[in-house]
Amino acid sequence: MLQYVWLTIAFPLVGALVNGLFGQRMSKKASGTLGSAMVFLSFLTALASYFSYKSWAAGSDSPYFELTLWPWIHVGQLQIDAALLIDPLSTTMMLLITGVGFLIHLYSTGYMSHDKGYSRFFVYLNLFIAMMLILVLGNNLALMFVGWEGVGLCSYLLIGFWYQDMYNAKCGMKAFVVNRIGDFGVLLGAFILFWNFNTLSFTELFGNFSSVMNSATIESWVPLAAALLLFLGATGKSAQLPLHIWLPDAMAGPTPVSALIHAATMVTAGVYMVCRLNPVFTAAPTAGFIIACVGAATAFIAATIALTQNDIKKVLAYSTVSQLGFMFLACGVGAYWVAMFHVLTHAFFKACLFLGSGSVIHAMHEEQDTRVMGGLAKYMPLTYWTFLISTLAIAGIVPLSGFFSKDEILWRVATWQTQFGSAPMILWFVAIATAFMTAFYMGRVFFKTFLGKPRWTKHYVEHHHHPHESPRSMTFPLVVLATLAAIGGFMGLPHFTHAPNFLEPWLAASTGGEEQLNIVGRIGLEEHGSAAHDDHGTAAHDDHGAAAGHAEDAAAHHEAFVSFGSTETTEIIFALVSVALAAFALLGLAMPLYTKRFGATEKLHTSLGPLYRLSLNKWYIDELYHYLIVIPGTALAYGCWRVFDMKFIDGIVNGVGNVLGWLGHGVRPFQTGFVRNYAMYLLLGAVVYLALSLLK
Amino acid sequence: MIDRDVIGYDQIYALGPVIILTLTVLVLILADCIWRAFSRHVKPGDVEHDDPAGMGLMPNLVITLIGATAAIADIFYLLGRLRAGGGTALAELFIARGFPDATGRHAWEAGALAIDSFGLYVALLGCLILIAVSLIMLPYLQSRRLFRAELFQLLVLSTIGMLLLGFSRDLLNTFIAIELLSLPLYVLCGLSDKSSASRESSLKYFLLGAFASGFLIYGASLVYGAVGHLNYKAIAFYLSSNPDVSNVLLAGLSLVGVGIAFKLALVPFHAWVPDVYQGAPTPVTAFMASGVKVAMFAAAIRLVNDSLVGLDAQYWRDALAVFAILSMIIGNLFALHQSSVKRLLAYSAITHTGYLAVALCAGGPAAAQSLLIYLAAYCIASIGAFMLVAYLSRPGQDDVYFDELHDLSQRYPAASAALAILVLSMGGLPMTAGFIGKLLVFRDAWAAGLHGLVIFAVLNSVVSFYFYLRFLRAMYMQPRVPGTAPLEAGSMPAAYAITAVVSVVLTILFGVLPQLLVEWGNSGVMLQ
Amino acid sequence: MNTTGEYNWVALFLFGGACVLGLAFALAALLRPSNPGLFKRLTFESGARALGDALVRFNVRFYILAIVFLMFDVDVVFIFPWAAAFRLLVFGEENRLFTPMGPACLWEMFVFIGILMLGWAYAYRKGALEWV
Repeated sequence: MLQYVWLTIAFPLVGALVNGLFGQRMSKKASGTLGSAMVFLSFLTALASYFSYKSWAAGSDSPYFELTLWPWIHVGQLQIDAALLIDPLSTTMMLLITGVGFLIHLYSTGYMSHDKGYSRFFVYLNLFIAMMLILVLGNNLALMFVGWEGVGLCSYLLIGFWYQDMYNAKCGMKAFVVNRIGDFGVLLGAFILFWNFNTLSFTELFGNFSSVMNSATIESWVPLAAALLLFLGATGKSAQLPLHIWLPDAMAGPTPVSALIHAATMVTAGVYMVCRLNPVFTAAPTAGFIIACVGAATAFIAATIALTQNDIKKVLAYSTVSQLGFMFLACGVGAYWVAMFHVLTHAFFKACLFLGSGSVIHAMHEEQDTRVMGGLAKYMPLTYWTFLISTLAIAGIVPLSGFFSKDEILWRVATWQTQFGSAPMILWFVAIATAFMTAFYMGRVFFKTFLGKPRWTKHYVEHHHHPHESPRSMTFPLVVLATLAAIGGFMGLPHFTHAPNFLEPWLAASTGGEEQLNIVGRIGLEEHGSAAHDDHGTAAHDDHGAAAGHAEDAAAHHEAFVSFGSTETTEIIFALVSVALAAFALLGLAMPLYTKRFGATEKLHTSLGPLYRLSLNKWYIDELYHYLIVIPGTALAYGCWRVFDMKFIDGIVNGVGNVLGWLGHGVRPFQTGFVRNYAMYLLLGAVVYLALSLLK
Repeated sequence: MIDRDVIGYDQIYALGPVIILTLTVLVLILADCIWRAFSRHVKPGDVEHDDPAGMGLMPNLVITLIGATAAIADIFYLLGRLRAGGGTALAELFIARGFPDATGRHAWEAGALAIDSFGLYVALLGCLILIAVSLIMLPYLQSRRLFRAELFQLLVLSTIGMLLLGFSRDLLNTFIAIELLSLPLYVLCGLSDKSSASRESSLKYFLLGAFASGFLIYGASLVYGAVGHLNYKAIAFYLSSNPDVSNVLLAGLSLVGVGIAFKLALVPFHAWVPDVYQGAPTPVTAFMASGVKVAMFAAAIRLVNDSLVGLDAQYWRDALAVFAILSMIIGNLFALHQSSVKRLLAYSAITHTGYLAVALCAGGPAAAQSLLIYLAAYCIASIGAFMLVAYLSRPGQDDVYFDELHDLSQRYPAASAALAILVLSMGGLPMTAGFIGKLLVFRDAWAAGLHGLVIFAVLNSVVSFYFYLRFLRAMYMQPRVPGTAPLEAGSMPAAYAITAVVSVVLTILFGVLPQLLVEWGNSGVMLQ
Repeated sequence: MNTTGEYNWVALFLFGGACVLGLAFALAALLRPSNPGLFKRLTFESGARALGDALVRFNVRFYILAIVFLMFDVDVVFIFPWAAAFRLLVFGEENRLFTPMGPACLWEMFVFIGILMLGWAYAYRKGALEWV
């Protein structure tokens, strides 16, 4: 079965092709059904490969199942195959993408039902699923890059889906351009890895990573440079500081797109890449530190911005940026499986929140401003309840999924063994403050939208009848996702519960269980001496061997914690603190402020003047980029076009100076259209040529 | 120091493709003379007055296609012989030798024309380009009522120049081949004599081309003065036996470089490109963008690999690297805001020259292979793209502007999808042929230690996506500009459709299964 | 290799050329009858105007004639050295590393002239020789 895993990619690809070629001639129902069915088939294949992987892994030494489809590029040392890699990490992502993808396809059949470009939408959406699967399943950096570019392209096309509005098209462009900066990093990072390890294949890279690293032929900057360049790519794709600016604007696309691409799957590609290449990142502790800092800073800044946004989707967008920051924080401290855990839970509750907001927007006839909502709970009960569950989940209320993953991240940060002094403490404080703000702004959105008095009556009743619940195709995915958001956390229960943790040993096989255990081991070292360490070392190797036997492994982990009663108590206290803070932010602050005493916020805004404006204007980062990069860049390009090409060809030389004075007079007669100038140019070039070769 | 030339007449069969194409030209001329000899008021090259569809061009097209196909068949035959022989070159024509030393061994021995696999692959590419361009020429001429039958002769002549450039290993031969390549093009650029842009393009190209040829031939004379011979091997031998390079030789090589860089359109020798590409009839532009580029890079890589091997790289590589960097920057910056598609593609051609020059800087057989692969991918994309421009443009205009492309995907979904795929391949999107080319070219340069140059080139290829995406944005994401009449291209003529399908299929095929292209290039490396 | 010395010959050649030219003019001035007139004082006697705008338009028919003439020029450029070396080409020479071509070189010239004549025929059919 495992060798048919390529079908997961093929199904959506076929869907995109058929819809693309014949979509115009098919009925809406047919093309929607086709699109969703293909993703459902893909999900079934993924599920089947999950089970067959488990049985395969039980009898295999290596956690990596490689499937070479065909030799892709074989030139000299460059040997790249079109090969897929099945391991716990990619299987998890595959299930997530196809599962959530299917629900969102289903939702879209309802949400987009009145849209002109219905079949086009499903073409892009199916193509996206295929590309995303290539990204996570590819067994080498080149194939991953194919998916990486592909999802970028789909995201670009989907953000600008309603292109009749110029603003949307511009947002799409912005997303693409910002992402290309990151892609540049990925390419160079891949180049560095290739030239030092002579392979782009993940399995080969992992296979000889430690031996090459130890052979001292590698200069010390190599893993750091590779890790940082790859992380640059991750900041682009996963909207981290300083490249986060595109994600809020990406909300210009249809809401299912925001849920699928800009919350659940594509934006987590950066996290996936870091987890996938975790040996490289682990080899460069400084890179880990930088990633943790960038993640924490992003989480914090995005959360502060989310506090004051009024557009329901903008709040969710900044919340996504903030949560992605949490995931990178986890990656930075080496807790890769925890990052993946948060990817999963975040996908559930954030997709649910986005779809819920889509349902609200649908009911409010494309109104996105929470200031004119309120009191919607009684008109759309299903949306209300699912949104509530997801809000509690993201806020971190026990026992919903967000609590477990976020709490695990906070705990890993607090116990991070690092050379960077008090970094864990500072990062922990930033993270807990962010968690507090998260609970507050999510409460704010929730209460403003669903509770309190309806503020939409005046302008609304004149044109429309009451808001109504969405059709079943839209509410069904909401219910499923809300259920997952509620119970998803039980996949990775914290150690102090002594319950079996399913996710950790499962993912440890591919996200470096060794590192995980080494951290634990180092703690153990302090009290138990080296014997305990050796024990854990063995346990780690067993981990690689048998994915089936996680129960014993999990037990082995727990022993480490059980032996330190104090650590366990601390962990419980930490968890209680974060739950208490979240509950206080939700019930103590957000609820009174945004339901009963609605006017009080105005006073708060004036008293907090500058801080409020800083947050409302997103820390002025867009403006900063605008003045620092966009304007000079545009001026240069525009100047070249305008001055050299237009003005001179038209023979107009007036008024050139004020546009491009700083480029100087010398290069102006560049594209004049006059042969004599071209000839002179040629002559000058010849002089330069002669000078360069003779004056050595 | 130089011995006399020996003419190897027994090996003339190796020039088969060139001879076949020459015969094709002769047949075309003769046919034109005889064909219309019975018509009183029609001169050869024109089409009968009672032939509004221009079907009189058909015989010329058929003869050209037959000639090109025969040449391709001959190339495959020669390649087969070459493989069977197992050597690096099938034949060396017009061999020259250095003076023998005391033991009677010649210091060097090389033909002015080397019929090796590299040359044969360049020839193959040239013949394929000839077929593609002649195919798209017919509907183009018909739609514009430009019944000029001579252009087939001129196209074939230019192709002969290409073939010779691929084989040439002697500066004089190179010069003659470049002229044979260029002179017909000067005429072809001015093909649509009613359009002032076309005439302007022809004249500009001619004047600047003549100027650049002057540099080339002057450089060659200086090289002769220093070395005493024009054969590349002679130059290489001279360089290796004279550690102190004379300034005369350096100046000569630089001036030869200027002449070649002009045809390659490296910045700062590029100024003619946008004007000429835009003004020339679109199929001719396609020929220039593909054929001339292939031929000139073939000439350049021969010069670098065969003659400059003994020269310290700093004497030529630094200048080339500077020009490569300039080409990438200038090409990208100027392309960003162009409103004309042809002009944008012209600037993008300059950028591509920059990437290719990066591989040229690397030098060596691997770079020759990568260049061939990159060029093949680029030719496919650029012929296809220019063909689509020819198809979409209004008859009186011969160019397409971006605001005319708006909303094109709604009315011409197939054409827009094809154009999108082809320009994305030019940009180097993975899973297209263009990506493979870029990957290999950058790999070579990196392996040659040109790390800074590669980083710069990667950065530029990232930037270049911005303007390639303008095609997608215009076609898929922008509503029609109020007040502009939509493009009315009608249904696609068969010749266009064939070219479009073939180019798109090859682009994707080579992207997904690049091994086909790589193996194709692999056997084209055996230089030296 | 010291190339500067060799280039002295070039200078000498230039100097010699200038001397010959000067000598010719001087001799002509001494020998010719002097009979100046309005038209004879023009720079060129070919009918072109010596004064006026440099960008004067020439009749394009001149160019066509010039191109046809060029064909014969090319003819001569190749035929002269061929004729001068004909014996060598056919029979070769002792002590030279040169493979004689035999009668092939005679046919080769026919091919060459044939190609040129074909071009001439084309030009003729095209009406390049008609002064319209």
